[in-house]
Amino acid sequence: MKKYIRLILLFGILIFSANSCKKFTDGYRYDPNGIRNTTSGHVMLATMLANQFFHKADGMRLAMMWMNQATGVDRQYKILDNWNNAELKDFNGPWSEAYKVIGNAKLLEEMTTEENNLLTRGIAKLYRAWAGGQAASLWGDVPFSQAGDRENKNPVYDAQTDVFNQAQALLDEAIDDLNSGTGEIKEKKDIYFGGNVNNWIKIAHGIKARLYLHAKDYPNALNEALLGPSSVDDDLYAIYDSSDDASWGQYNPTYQFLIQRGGDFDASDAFAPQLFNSRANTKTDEFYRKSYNYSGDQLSTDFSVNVLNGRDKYGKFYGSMPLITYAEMLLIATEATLRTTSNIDDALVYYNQYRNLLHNGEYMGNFNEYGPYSYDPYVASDFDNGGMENPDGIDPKSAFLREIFEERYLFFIGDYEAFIDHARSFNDPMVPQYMELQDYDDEPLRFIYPETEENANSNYPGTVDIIVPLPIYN
Amino acid sequence: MKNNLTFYLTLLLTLVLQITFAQQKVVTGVVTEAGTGEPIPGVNVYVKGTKRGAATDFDGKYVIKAKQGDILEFSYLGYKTTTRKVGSSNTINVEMASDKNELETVVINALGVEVKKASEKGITVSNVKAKVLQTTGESDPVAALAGKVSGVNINLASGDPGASTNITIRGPKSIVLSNQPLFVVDGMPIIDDIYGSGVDGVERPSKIADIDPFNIESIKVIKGGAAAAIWGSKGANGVIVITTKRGRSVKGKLNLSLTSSIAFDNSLTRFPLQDKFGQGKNSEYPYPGNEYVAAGSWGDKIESRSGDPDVPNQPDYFYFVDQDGKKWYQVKAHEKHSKETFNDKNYNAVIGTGTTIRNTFQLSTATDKAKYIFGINYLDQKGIFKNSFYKKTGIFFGNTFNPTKKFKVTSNFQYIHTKQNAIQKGSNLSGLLLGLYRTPADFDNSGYVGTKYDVFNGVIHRFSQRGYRQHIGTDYKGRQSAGIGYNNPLFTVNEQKNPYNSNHVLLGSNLEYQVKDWFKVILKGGVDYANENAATYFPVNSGEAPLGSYSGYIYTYLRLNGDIIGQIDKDLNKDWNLNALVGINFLHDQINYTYGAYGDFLLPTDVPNASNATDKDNSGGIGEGFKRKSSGYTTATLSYKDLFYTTLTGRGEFSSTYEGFITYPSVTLAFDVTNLEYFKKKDNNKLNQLTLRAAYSRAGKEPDAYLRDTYYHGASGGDGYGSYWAATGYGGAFTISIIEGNQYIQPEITSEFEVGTDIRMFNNRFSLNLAYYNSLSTDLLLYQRMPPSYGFEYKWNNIAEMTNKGFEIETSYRILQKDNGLTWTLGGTLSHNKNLVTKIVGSKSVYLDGFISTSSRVAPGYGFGILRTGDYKRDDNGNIVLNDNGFPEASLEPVFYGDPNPDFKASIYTNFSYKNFRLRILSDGSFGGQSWDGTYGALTHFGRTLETANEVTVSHDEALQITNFAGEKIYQINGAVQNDDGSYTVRGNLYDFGGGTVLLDESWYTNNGGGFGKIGSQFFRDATWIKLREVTLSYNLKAKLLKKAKIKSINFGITGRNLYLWTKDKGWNIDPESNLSGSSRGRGLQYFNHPTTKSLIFTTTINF
Repeated sequence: MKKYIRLILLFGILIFSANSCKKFTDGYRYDPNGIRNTTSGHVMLATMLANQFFHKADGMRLAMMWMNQATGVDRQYKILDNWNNAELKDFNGPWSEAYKVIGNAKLLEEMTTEENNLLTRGIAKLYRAWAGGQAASLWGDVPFSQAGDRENKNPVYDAQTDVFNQAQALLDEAIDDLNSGTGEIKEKKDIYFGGNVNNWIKIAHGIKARLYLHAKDYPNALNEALLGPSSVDDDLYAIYDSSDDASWGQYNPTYQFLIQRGGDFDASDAFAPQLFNSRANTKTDEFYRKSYNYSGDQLSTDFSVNVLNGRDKYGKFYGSMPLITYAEMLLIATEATLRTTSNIDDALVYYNQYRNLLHNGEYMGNFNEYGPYSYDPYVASDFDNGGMENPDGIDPKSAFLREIFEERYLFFIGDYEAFIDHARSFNDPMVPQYMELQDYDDEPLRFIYPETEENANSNYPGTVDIIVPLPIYN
Repeated sequence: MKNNLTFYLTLLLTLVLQITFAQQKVVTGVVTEAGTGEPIPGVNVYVKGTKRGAATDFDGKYVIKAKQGDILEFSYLGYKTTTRKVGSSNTINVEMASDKNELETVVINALGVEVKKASEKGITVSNVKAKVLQTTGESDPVAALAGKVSGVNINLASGDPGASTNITIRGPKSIVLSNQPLFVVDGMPIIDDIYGSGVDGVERPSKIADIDPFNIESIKVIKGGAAAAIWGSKGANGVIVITTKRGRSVKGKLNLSLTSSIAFDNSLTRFPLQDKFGQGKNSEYPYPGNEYVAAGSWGDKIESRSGDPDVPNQPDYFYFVDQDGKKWYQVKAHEKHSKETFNDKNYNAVIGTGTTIRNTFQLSTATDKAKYIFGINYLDQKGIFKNSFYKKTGIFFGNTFNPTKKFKVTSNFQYIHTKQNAIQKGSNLSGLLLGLYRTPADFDNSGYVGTKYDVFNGVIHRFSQRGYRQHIGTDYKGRQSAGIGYNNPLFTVNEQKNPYNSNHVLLGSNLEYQVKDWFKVILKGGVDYANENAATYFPVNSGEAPLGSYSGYIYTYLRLNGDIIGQIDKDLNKDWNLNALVGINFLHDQINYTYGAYGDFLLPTDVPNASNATDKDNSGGIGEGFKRKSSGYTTATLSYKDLFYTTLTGRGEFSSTYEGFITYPSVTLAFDVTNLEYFKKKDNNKLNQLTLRAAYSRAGKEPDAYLRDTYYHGASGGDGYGSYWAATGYGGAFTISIIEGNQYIQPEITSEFEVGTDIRMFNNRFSLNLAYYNSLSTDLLLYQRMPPSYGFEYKWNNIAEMTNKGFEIETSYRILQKDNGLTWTLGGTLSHNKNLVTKIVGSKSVYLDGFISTSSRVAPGYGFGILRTGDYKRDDNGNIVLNDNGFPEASLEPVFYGDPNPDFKASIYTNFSYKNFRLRILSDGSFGGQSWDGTYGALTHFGRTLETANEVTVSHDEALQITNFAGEKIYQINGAVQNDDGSYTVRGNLYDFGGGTVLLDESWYTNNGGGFGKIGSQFFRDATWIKLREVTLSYNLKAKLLKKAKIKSINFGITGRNLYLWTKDKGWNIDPESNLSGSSRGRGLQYFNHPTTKSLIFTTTINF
């Protein structure tokens, strides 16, 4: 009997200790300071900010160097100045930034669907289409249909044209959502338009116009450009504040970069600042626009990208920077009209509207307080053989296209569009040479897939070199 | 000083009062271990039949009063009790043999519990005597282990005072978790978090370094997994069991010892830099006009200058007034004439001789039922880098108390206060060597902080920093891209501050009750509490933080540990014995943290003050974290007739960091061949011991807390080049983390198989231990890189596997042992470990540490830390592809180029001892493996290495043919000088990549020929090194005169540490043993590392 009691006792102690052992560790699973949810307004702002960084940080600096709008002068940037030195890992940043936008937009789409907040869902779709479309314009075939959903661990790479088509369809859905009147756009979290739906509808059309242009669908590009931002008040700018009162995370990324790595990146001997000089004619004076973009000795070639903040004027790379603008819509409309109708007069209507903006000092930061500016209207004869824009006597349409691309090249200093313009026009016989690349082998025609995908995505399509044309431009 | 004297006199007085007068003579001697000749401290010496006794000191020496004809009895755990009769001689040296009946010998096991030695027959351990650690002069017990144990890899971060040391046993078992063994101090697993720095920042002390070697009785390195497995998810890296002193005085005696040492430290290596060419580019000195002055030393030839004074540019309008009131100007265009160079001056201003002062005071005594020891340690180290220091003050108390025969209480208490100021290092615009080594030879760094006057624009910039890229200082807050670029090294050491202090308390208590003669109950409790306080201050205009930044943290760690153990020791019958213990353990870990960061200072000042920052740049956090674990464990050893031993061990755990109950078993077998009747009968001394053993074990490593769930955080991002965004400035945005939680996370598991043998021969004069092991680590955690297109970018996952195979040899031979006290021992260790990463699911490689260009990684098919870098572009046959000018290009994709893991590690030591002299020499080395010399690469880019300052002379014809990387012919190159005979002399090196001779010059070195280029493989070196680690000469003085002063002995010692470094690759200018990323995971990376030190240490020990 005694033996049994001992046995039962022993057994009891064992059970008791096992239980207390388990209890000892219970209740310590979660980080006492870790947050496990959020609201759609917050995710919307996160999406917007990730997107503007995607467009205006490391990827943009690479594109600027390769488009000869800037120069890599020291350390890593000296090497990267030559696109042939670019490696997979140099694209980890821009890629991850693009997919951060897509991932956040996807989350926002799910949250707003659940909340039946269709207006904000429209913004979610807009951003997903924008970032995905822009990624396809830079990398070609990219993950889109399965991207950012946090379910497909190895998203497939959709063909470039499929991405463009899906993005257009998604933008149509976005416009429907934005027109639905259901739900709300949190005013305080919409840093661009304070919740104004009409502005977002115009931006959606603007993105559609841009992506149609990339896809060389000119009639649709024209239609959408006319539905996009219709005045400078409609413009979407990446908002930066590099003033003393701002926090470091609000600063212009190029300005931040140059504070940290001054001397690595400037515009010495770059083509774009010199183009401003050579472009001047009796109708055009580029002095202030050049000063807004570039600082340095105006007489030599020793330029820097302008990050200056003077007492009353600041450089382009110090303050907010354009993303989707009325000006771009006019440039798209000009090119699309010319491409579809070949009617120089019709195209000039848009182009002279565009020049009129410059004439009034727009798109020059607060250099617009100076002036006078001179961007007088062109007439069709300016592009005729021997005209002021056609001294070499080429086909007038080509001469006009050259002017458009040249103008876009300058307007898009500090934007991916200048790089994409080169990629889509390098083998277009209608577009004569409008700028000079640096004297390295071959030409940069795309971004390389990043190491982060090569390393981890089983659907990775293989490394494609920077000099290989994008599928739709091949 | 006066206080010290008073204290000393009081102690002397106390001693004098304690002296008991007797007529007997004084007998002295040394007790050594048979076989090794090592002195045995703590041996009890009794005059048989009396209560009179003594104990041996650290050197195995004893002093006792006895009459002629008395019998002296020497006893010590683990040794056969030995008796000697007192004769006419006053000296009796005794050699004590290890207790032959090993079953009865008691050792401290991995848990810190006293067990029969039988239970450790099947495992590999290395015992290190405290004395051996103490003579090294290292205050970090881990650093002191270097070269003394086989199979152990010890990595120094650098020579910074207080820098942490990394130790790995039998190769790394983990990729992301710590590979450091568990440190068990008196049975308490102490806080094992070590804060290694990354590629920049500062070196901070580790918690283990808090334990002073003088408080340690012994260190036992448990290499085999079988013994470590009893620690379950803490055991996979092996265990280092530290037993602190418990007092070993005999009743009524007060033992007092005072050890003082002073060490002089110097840099072991110095990078040689050219002084032939000055600052500039394109062979020209840079003149005013640029916002930044040229970063490189590609300027004009200094010797060709006239030697006249430099002519200042607009001296009334632009100048800088430095800290001493001296005015500095820019040099007017084409008016740089001075031939003066400053390499030595700039170096000596910031790096010099460091000193380390250490004092240890220990007092021990005993009563009938208790022993006590009390100690104070003090260390004051001034580093070789100006203003760097490390101070450590420790109080130590240990005791053993036996109130009754059945009851025993032991306890110990340690309090350690450390204080440090470290210097920014590595890849860091504010780092010391980055700025120092890049400074051109013709730039004088001595004026470094002051006021910049821009009279022309009417602006004064206060607290401006002057450096070689800003000759007259920075504008206010370095804005408008006129920052300092790289810090002036004097600004780094004088104006930047990196204070640190920590309070560390270790408390342990052990209560044992002998219930039956075969059954004992043990209760153990321990507390480890540490409070760390650290800050980093960058004043405005620092390279790293032009707007200024002041950040800091307070971490408070608390570990509570409790065990209940039942221990059985029972003879089952005549031949079989069972020795077992069963226990349960509760462990609670807690961290509380507070941190803050302030920036963009309103007033430029050298005083760190948080309220001097604008609100917008302030940030901070308060938080806490917990880990809990409860475990049950058992270990049981069955032995048969001293011949066969088998041990079974098991541990099971619940943890808050993962789901489920995980068990860790191990089994060992041992066979004592020499205990066979056959050998026993032979009774010769040729083979004293031959043990064969085998073991299998499974141990683990637990994941960090809070990896099971996905969390949300404030949205932010950055591109790695200084561009950064955060939603806080835009009103804030909370979004999902890019790190995916993993609810299925599990501990990592390492299973190990090992065989070994222990041999002692020739009357114990020769010993040899061999071990071979083969371990497999599975379920290794990785910060798995997910494709960004998935939505999450990282996930913690058990997805990698790794193996370690290797062998270890430890041997020693006593060549001489003469009756006159002359002994000479020679010994050494050799170990080999082959690590191989066998699997990483879903990733080709994972980054550990390093740079974009060259990084230390893990990749399947390669050893841990494999270095990846860019290589030459090659064709299908592996030949380098050349461009039209005959220069190579870089490959598109990086390659795995160098394995940082050595093939072998070896050490050799010899000990001489004669009368009162002792000499110890230790040399160790690492053979094989590669490192990346990024310092050399970067300095080549900047034109600072000797290689870049070479000049070549070519014939006129060659000058028309040979081109540089830019495509210029030599005669066209700016700076090429035509000699009278028509030949040309030009800066650079002639080289043939295979397409004909080309000139390597500025255009090549600043492109792919330098450290910022894409071809990092050029800068790899063989990492083989040998060091003369330690030479110690000591003399023990025991003059009659001392006795009158009541001093038992005075020991003088002189130790040289790291006296000589030999490297196989002669290109090394850095200690290849040091590691840029400190005790973190990256390996084989050299990039402006702080140098290691060599030291000369003078020690005096006085025993009362």
